[in-house]
Amino acid sequence: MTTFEIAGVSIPTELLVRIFSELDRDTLRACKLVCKYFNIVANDPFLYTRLPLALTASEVLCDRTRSDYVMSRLSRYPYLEEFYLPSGLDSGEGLEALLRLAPKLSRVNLRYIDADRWKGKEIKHFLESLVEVLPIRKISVPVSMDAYTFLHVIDVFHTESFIPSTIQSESLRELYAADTPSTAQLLQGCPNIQKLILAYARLEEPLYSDSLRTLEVSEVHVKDAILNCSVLTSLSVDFVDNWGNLATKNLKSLTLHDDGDYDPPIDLEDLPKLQHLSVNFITQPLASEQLVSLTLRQRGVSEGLMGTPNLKTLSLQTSIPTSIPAGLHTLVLDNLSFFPPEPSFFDTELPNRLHRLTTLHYRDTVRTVIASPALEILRVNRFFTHHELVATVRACPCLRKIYLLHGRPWERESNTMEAKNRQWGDFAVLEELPSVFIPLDLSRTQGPVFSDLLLAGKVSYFG
Amino acid sequence: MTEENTDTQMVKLCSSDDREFEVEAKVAKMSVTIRNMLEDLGLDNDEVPNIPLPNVNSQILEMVINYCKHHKDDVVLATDDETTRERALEDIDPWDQKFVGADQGTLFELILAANYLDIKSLLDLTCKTVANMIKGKDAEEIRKTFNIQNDFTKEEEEQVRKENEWCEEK
Repeated sequence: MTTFEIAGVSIPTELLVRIFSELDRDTLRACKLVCKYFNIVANDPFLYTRLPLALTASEVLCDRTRSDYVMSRLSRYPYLEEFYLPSGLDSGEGLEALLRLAPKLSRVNLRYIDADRWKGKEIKHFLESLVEVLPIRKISVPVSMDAYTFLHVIDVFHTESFIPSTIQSESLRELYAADTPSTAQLLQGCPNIQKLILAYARLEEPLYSDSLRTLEVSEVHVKDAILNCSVLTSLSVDFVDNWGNLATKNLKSLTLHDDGDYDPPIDLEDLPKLQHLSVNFITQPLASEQLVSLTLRQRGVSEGLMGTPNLKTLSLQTSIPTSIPAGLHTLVLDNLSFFPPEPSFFDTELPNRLHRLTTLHYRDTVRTVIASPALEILRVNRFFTHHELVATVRACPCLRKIYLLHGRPWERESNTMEAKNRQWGDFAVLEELPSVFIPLDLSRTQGPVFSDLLLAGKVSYFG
Repeated sequence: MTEENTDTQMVKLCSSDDREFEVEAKVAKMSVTIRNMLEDLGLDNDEVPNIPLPNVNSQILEMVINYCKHHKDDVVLATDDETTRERALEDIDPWDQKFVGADQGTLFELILAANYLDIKSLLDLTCKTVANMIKGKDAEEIRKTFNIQNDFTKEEEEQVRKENEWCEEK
């Protein structure tokens, strides 16, 4: 289909893309959900290569020359919503005027600037002038800087340092910081806060909040710490000495991070709504009908996972358990140098044991053929040679997207351009896929060899 | 013949339903398509050239001509894509706003005409107008706006939602 009918008029695809190019990121996301055709159009690479909505850290973490480059690009993107200030700047001089050309800018990130070179006062002055003219809702600041004077106007505040418990803000929805003297007092001063991330905080008094949904702290040392947070559904904590400290029936998502030799006293019967669990290791058998996602970072359940029949997402940094529920949709395999799966896992066990799997993340080099009947999305670091890639595409009939996170396969034996081109020529098999995602830096060094695929709309770059 | 003379000369535009509109060449030439046709014809005699436009009906052509007449004296800014995009999206002047205020069908026909006739400012205006109609809306509201059927299965819709979340992570 190359046209789409709206109000009785057939609109060619390229004109819908033209219309979509006027949209912001959130509306584009909504468009993807409207219908299949809109989904295809809203995924058009043109929309993303031409209109960056954010200039991010990887683009700006560089020296002075590069800063000038980023700033020159800034003036070309009036739809910019997020901006990371380049690390190479001495001050905001000149930048302020440029940022005014991006009237939609709502998120500024100053975490990468060298605050000593700027001197604290100048940063504050710079932020003040921005908040005055732009719809700034989110600010990220460097460690040495306090920016609490802005808290009354912004939704999201991000710092890596300590913040006082006395801050007060009605507007604040999300707060990221290292720690605060009293988390309970902080919550009183910010009555609408929904997400609170305090990486080093120890809870020693119970919290009271009717707005908090997500909480992340380091340690919990008080009984019923979150019992009085009526809408809290997501908790992440490094250490909890007593299970009773986490008493609440509402948790849907729980992350336990402690990396000591510590078997958390998890009792899923206390958490009847828990759907997402992430732990370092767990030795007791799990039994839960609700659990849909599980992350194991160090050691698996030796008995396997038959007690969680409805599991849909499994993320492992450990060896693969002996039994996995057959309904699994998403499998993430990490830390494979310690626990490499047997080659037979990919060509025998995947199709037999996990025939409903639609998404596989494999954070390593694929040295074997992956054969999976329902697999739609595959993310890998790279394939060992193009042979494995070609054979995998052929062995997964439903495959729609491949992400090559580290780019092309190892091609040790071929250094001449001619040899490289010849090998990439074999990638014609990728034309059978709707899309392939390759890293941006690969597009710079290997651009020409992808040009055919790019023209066919098959290849997208990501940053 | 000087540039001035070619601009005051009249040309005839003929719509798909065979209605003829006589307009100044300067107005007609805001369409790159017509300008190219006129150059191909060569305007060196007194005859009024007749340009057939089989893709545009008379109702839409009349509107396009009105638009071009209103904007014929606009200073043409740099034609480079990037620079024109810098103009703020909300800057739609009141005359233009009224112009595109018709029903959806007409608006989309104008987009097709602007594209076919290659009138960049009109294409910008109409595309922006459609974009403004859906900006900030969720999928269901967009479906309602354009009367679009949701043809996703539940599973497919969930998959797209998941992919959207991934983008968010990045």
